[in-house]
Amino acid sequence: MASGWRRMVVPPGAKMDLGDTEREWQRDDYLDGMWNNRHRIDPGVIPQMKSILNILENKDGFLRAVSDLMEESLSCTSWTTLDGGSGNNDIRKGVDFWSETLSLKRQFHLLAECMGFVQEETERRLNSALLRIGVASLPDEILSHILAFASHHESTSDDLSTFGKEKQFFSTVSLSHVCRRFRRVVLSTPQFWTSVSDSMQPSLVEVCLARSGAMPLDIFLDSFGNIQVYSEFHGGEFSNVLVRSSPRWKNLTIRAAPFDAEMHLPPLEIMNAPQLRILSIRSLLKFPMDPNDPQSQISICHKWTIPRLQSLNIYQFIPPPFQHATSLTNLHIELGLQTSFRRLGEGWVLDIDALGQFLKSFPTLREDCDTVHPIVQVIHVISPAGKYPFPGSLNFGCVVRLWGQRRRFAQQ
Amino acid sequence: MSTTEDKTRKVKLVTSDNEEFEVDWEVATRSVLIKHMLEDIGESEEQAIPLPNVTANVLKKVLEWCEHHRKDPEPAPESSDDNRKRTLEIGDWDAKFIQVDQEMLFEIILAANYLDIKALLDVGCKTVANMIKGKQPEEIRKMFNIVNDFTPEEEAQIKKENEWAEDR
Repeated sequence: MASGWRRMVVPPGAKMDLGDTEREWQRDDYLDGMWNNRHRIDPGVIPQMKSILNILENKDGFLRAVSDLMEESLSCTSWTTLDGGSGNNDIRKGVDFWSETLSLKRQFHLLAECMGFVQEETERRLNSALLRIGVASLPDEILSHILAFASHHESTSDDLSTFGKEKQFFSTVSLSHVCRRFRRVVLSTPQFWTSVSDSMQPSLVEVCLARSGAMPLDIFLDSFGNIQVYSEFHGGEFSNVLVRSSPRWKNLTIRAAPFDAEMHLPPLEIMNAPQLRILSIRSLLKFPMDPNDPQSQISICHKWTIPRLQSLNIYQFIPPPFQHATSLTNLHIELGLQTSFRRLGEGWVLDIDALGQFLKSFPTLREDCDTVHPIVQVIHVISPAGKYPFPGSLNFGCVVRLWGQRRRFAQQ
Repeated sequence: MSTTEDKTRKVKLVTSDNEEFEVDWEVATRSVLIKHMLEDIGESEEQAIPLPNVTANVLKKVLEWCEHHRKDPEPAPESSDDNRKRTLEIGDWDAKFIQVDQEMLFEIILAANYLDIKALLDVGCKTVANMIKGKQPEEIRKMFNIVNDFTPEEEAQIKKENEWAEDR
């Protein structure tokens, strides 16, 4: 809001000692008038207004000169006589003159403030007009580009959060409410509607699926760890609707424990996602898979058809061998830190057999592959051949070499 | 791929207001349009490239950007399902460069689009996007001095869409 909003405007002829209410009324009345007549302001007058203000406010300017003149006049008024009568007259005249000059001085200052406000407001409107003309001059494709930037929600530290996707959806919707042109551009650009999350209302998901046309989709499934909260997704037709769009899935992010039973129920158990390039799975729990526990043998995605998967990101667990990733070129494993395990301190208890079996699933990956970025803080290795304590960090290369020495890694 | 000869070569550009600029090949070819035109005309050094959609003052500004970014790697070709990061961050130099009046900002965006300089187009678009981001429709209307021109039917639909956010 312009700083001038709080300034007071006194129209010609108004009395000086305005009460607060009256002052407020006059200010609002003035501003309303300004607003209603906004199109009548000629932008060309701004430089003139600026120069007038400068002249008025300048040390040698009109306002200052008038004020100084009056102060000077006041000080020069005859105060010197001591004979009673004429002295009283002089004093009366002096007081009147002082009062008038003070009143005039205040009015001039108010006038200067008023003009300052008008100048600020006009400048703001000129900028708005230039923005409007500028945007109007842009072709739709550039406006779409700008709106895409404006609606994008920056990922937080947790890239798997669905919250950001929902926020992005509502930013896009909000932009479509500005004017008809914005709406037409936003609604006719499928790229705005390609992010879908199971935390969204079914009607919103349907809106996205319809408006995204045939574009590849980014899917974020956050519900498997808490199906009570996402009852709409798991309770009815909703999940079927979403799964029917799986041929268009390009990027799938799942937040779930690897053995979440819900993942193995129709319609998610068997799925056809021929365009899927990036799959990210984060386990909500931090503990190693127990090879003796049959439940831990369950793994998501094992009955999925995902022939074009290029990038697999695994967080917080090591899945069983993965049979579908023949074109995988990028593997990211991030086990993070685990709380104290058998008093060994913080780190990851690594099942070297499980990791080896998992790595053998990827014939397209090489031992020295630069695209593998594991962050593994290993404190203990479980292996049939014995225990290998690894204080400190263990990188992927070490694991592969260790596996190669002991188990003849498939790629060697 | 540019050769050593290309890097020492000069290119003449002529703006819509008939001003001629002579710039290094490496600077001029930040523009994909100019690069393709140079490929078309071959080795003819004397032939000037006409740029009928760009005025001299705008081209001067665009060339300032190209000069600063002359060593930048060429951007990867854009795929149809482009998933590049839409971060709104602008580098320090670019942020200072784009501190121009509104008229020039949009002129630069249009010129970058015409000359096919993707990185510069992004800088301009991000600058405008930063003005819009996070604002309510009414705030955006006020900022751009644009009127709400929705029909009653569209208003009804918008009201319904606003309920989506309330239902969350």
